[in-house]
Amino acid sequence: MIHGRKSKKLVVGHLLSTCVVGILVLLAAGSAEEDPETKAKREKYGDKISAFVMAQKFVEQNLKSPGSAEYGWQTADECVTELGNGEYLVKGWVDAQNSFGAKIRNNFSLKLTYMGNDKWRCTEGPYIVGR
Amino acid sequence: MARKTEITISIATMFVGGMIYVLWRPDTLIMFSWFKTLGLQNSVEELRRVASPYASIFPSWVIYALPQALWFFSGLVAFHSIWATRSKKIYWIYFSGFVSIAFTTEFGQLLNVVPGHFDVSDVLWLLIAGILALIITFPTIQKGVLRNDTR
Repeated sequence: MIHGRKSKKLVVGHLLSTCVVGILVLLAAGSAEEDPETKAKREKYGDKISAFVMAQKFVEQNLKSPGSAEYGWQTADECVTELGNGEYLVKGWVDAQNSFGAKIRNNFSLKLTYMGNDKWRCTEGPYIVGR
Repeated sequence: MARKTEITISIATMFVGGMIYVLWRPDTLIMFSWFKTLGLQNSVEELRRVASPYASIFPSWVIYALPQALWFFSGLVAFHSIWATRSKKIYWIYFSGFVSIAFTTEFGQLLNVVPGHFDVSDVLWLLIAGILALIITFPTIQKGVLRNDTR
């Protein structure tokens, strides 16, 4: 009886350990690079998320109160259009305080070009229009 | 250390390591294609967008070497929490097996046998994680809480 309980405990131990190993293997597999081609493309032409982050920086440089800027739940997928050759068109909105301190919603659009080495250039805009 | 504390530490370190990957590592990793398949892409993108400005606060080793070390640490603590009340012998088998796999993988990268880029700091962080895991579990091992094997 005691022996049976002990071996049951060991089986449970092995099952739990297998789960731990499984989770760690999953994490290790997920953290591997997708494929060298995608990586090379990203390094050469940038990506949508970085374009969206940079667009926000360019937009904020043109706001009266950059610290008050809020973008809500907009995502790079919704706001960024890839034009090819490292060019991106970003369209979205930002809530920010105007010179009177009132928070208003502004639409913005701008074109960005990825220059390599995490550097971006704003080639058009940013055009910011209050709603 | 109490078993519950060990389980909490193990889950927390695994989570933190995972979040570093999700928030600040390039989105060319395989896990991002999984998120897409699971329909989590928008939420992950939003998290990355919010977290992106904070990446510059951390030194590069936090983003590139620490997550693996946290996972390694998490695994070692998890094995201890599982086997501490079961079998001392099996605990050491899992411990040494896991340590061997982690270091063999790292040195396999050096010999180009395992895909990935070898970095000495990765090895150092694994060592630190392993030593830390031993330190926090050692009092239990020393006090003889680990049971001897059933025969």
